Amino acid sequence: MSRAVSRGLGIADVPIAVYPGVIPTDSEAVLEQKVREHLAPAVIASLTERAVAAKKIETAEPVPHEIVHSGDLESVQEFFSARGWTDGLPIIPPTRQRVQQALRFTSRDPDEVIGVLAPEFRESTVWNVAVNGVMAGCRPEYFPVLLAIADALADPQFRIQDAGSTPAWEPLVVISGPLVKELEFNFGTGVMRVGRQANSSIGRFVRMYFRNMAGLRIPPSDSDQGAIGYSFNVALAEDDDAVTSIGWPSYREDKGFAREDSIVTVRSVVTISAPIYSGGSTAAEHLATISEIFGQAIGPWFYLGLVFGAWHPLLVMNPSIARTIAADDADKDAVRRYLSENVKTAATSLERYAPQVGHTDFTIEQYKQAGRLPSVSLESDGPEQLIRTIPDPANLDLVVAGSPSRNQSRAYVQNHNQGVPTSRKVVLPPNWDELLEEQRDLKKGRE
Amino acid sequence: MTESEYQVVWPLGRSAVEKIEMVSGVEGLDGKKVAFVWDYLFRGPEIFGVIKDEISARYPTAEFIDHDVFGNIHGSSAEEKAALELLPGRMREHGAAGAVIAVGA
Repeated sequence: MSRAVSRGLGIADVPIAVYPGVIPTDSEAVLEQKVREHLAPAVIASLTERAVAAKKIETAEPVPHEIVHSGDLESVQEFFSARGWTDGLPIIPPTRQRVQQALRFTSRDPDEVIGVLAPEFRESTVWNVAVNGVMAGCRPEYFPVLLAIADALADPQFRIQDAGSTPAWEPLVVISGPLVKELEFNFGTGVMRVGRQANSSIGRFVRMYFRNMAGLRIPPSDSDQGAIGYSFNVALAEDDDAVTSIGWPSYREDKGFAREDSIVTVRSVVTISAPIYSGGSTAAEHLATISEIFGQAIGPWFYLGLVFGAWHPLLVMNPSIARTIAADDADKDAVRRYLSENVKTAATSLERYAPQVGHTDFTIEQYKQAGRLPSVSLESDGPEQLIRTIPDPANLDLVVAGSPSRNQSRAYVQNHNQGVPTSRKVVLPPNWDELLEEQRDLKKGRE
Repeated sequence: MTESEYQVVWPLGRSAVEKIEMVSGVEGLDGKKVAFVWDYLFRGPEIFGVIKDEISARYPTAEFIDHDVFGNIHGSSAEEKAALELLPGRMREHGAAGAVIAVGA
């Protein structure tokens, strides 16, 4: 990863001294020996023996809009795959014509630079959002959603540069608003499964965009160091009808947008809970079960929320659960408060786990003394003290989605200051209705 | 059946990288100061301690600037920003001739 970041910063050959092994698994004696015999000599050599080595970075790359290949479907797949431009699945060939079809859905200049994405430091533009959207199998009418996602990914608070870190978190797009129905997202049974074009292709687009714009690629490249990853998340769409009938504010209103808006929020997901089936006719019964399994999913990973000062978990619940809770006079804030007060794990578990991840100096006491432990966090001072792992209820996101005929929730654990939930309103072109109708007619004609 | 031919465009963005010129190594470390900057990961103080021993064994008059001078370069986003902004100035202020930066994995 250091090499990839250095390349991105324009340093062709950063001196890196490599430890021969895995630091957290070596004993003190072995570590000392390896540092003395291997690492220290390499460090000294790097400090003293380096010649000036300002290699020129090759910049002989294509330019945006350039046709880079002509050929049949198979040759396009091979050409893109050989250059690391695909995710390993077949792509839709990004012809200029297909890209232009997507660009009709915005009035933004195709060459507008949305941001520069680390670690490869490439310009994200309206044009290449369209190119990658086509490749991922997105319909032209999804383009305003893709642009909103790209705008969110370029926000420095999202920290896309950390998406190749070893925990191997995945981005997740939450979509809320009238576009959920207009673009035919699945928000019901089977939500979060591959199978509906809007959810699947937009989820795939995000991972493709990480690859092609931020340069995050698995071996033979070196920029994605995910130790054990999982496949991309399809987009999560909110069940607006359910939220409305329950009388809760929508997800977009929780995020400060208007009811009539459509928004996307991009966030990291580092792990997902087991299915949380909860029963009973009271809010307390459901929330007791949810808090127990939510806590298991977060577990000692919460220590990173303390280290990095950011923590934004997400709970997705089936409409039946939200309805039961609401019928018991509990609103969304009451759910957040309850879970904040009751999702806990043993503080000793954090201290045992942190050094194994790599934070070898982590102690709860240290954070307490530095005044960096939220005052509500610790339940007691004893050795078996419990720590609240959703200390700030305002940072817990709630989305109603999934099967209307079951009683399941899932907790999505976010990766601290990496992939902080970042929202953008989806901006539609002035002739949206007309363009959408045109696409629907085309679709019908092809069916 | 004749398969279509596709003329396809480049899916990447223009590189915004500006080349950084590297400096040459330090000529010997005697009488020089070596800075240690830490990301608070992977047993840094243990590793730095052994490296300092080895540098001292070869260059007895080498001096060291400890990591706590520079703060945590891999903490919260605010902490990281502050530490990185101050880093060049602190290097100059303490007269660092070279630096060992972070422990990664």
